[in-house]
Amino acid sequence: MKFYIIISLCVISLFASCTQKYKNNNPYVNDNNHPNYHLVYSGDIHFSLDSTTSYFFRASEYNEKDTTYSFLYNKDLLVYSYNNQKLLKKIQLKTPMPTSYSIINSDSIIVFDYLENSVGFYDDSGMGYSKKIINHTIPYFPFPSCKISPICYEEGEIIYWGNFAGEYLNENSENRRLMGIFNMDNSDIKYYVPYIDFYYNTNWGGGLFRWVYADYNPDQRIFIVSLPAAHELLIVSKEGELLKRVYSGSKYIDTIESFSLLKLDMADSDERTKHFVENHSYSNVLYDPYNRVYYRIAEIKSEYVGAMGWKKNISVVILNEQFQRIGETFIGNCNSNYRYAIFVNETGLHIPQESSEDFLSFKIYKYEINE
Amino acid sequence: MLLVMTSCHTEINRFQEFILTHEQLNVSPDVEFIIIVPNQGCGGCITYMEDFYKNNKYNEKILFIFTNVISKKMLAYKIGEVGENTYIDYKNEFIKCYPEGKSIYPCVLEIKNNSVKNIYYQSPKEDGISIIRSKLKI
Repeated sequence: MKFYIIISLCVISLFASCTQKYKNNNPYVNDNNHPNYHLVYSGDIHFSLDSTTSYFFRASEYNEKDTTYSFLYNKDLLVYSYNNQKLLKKIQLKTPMPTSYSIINSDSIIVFDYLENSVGFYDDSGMGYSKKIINHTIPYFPFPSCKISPICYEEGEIIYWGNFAGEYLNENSENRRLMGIFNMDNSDIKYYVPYIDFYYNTNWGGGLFRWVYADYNPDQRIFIVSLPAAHELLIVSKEGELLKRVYSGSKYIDTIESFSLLKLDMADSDERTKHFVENHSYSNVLYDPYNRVYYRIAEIKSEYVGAMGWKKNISVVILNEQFQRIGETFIGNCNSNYRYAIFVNETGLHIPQESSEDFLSFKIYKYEINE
Repeated sequence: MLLVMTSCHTEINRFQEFILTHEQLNVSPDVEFIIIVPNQGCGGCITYMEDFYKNNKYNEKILFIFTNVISKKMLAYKIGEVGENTYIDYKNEFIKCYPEGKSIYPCVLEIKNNSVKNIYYQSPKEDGISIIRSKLKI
């Protein structure tokens, strides 16, 4: 009899755990003490796309030195002049599955290949040279499956960010990390920066909530990292040291709920995407070197209408160089692909918009003080 | 069991009715399978079906329908030249026939005497393509 009581209690506890979720509450959601700055719409810019190129890409980059905007569509790297929006070149990369890149100069394009697990340098004819396979030494290693974080190259080392999909019973801060530093000379790989603790202890669906967004401030030599379920940003040195965590929550986000408490509680991708859409989240963080501020994107939960067509409205949290919240601007609707195309330049914050497939269109927002 | 059977029957009826009444879709009497491929959904399942399409796009016994098209250009890149037995559902109408939770998977309709006889899915738990390969010996 005792045995059956114990079994029953275990079953009830398991059931209770399955239905419970971790709630990451925003402690300062009602704090509006410093709404001094905001973003103001100032105009549009459009890049014409040819008959085979769509704006559904997953990697892009604005290059300040050349004033070019580029993006990776399948295996083609398209480089546009920002000033006149003309296509300057279309480079077919000779690698099976490029997923992220960074243009150092015309003869040096760093490209990550997801299929090969490789990183290498490519020239502007698309030919690779100095390509290396990364032999990972931890089970849940970072690798850029798209470009939502920067790639830096310094003294023979490539610094990059990424995530490993899925939820795992045995994951911890040692075997699942977000930043990699790869030495191109000796192929040595080192990993830095774990997730915030609550990520390891709960189930976040293994997909979109696990992504790692980041940007780089070259003046301070720091990375700023945004995790979708965290109200804080991680500030990391170029050497991989976690310097501090800073609050940067949105006034539109009160709480973010996990998918489940149990790591083993996995559903199909439709249910996990539904969970993501019907919860708030954060995405990109961008450094604006012209105004010396940071923009962090908050995604407001919405109704899930299926794998196709779901969207979230966005708001932009503005922080100064000391990471103090100095404003927030609700933007609303934008292109569903925005997270891969959004960028900052001297003209302002460029947020991609819905348009026909023949154009890549942006709305430009300027940073201003409230009057 | 009765509930499962009723559910399957409703699913079949939904696809059946839509296919029979669709103005632009002409299903040849030679067609033994209709494969519906959503453009967005379960990545691995869809890619597998897209590869199957490239090798079987001229097979007169199979009608391919691409639905849930978010990008015409992306679809063109993935499937290349379109075969004669292919319908591109630009209005994304066929996705509405799917039962809840299944719209991310390619769907195989077995056709007999102008009716939908069975439904199979291409998903991590089900291998619709194997049914086609077995019955058409391809």
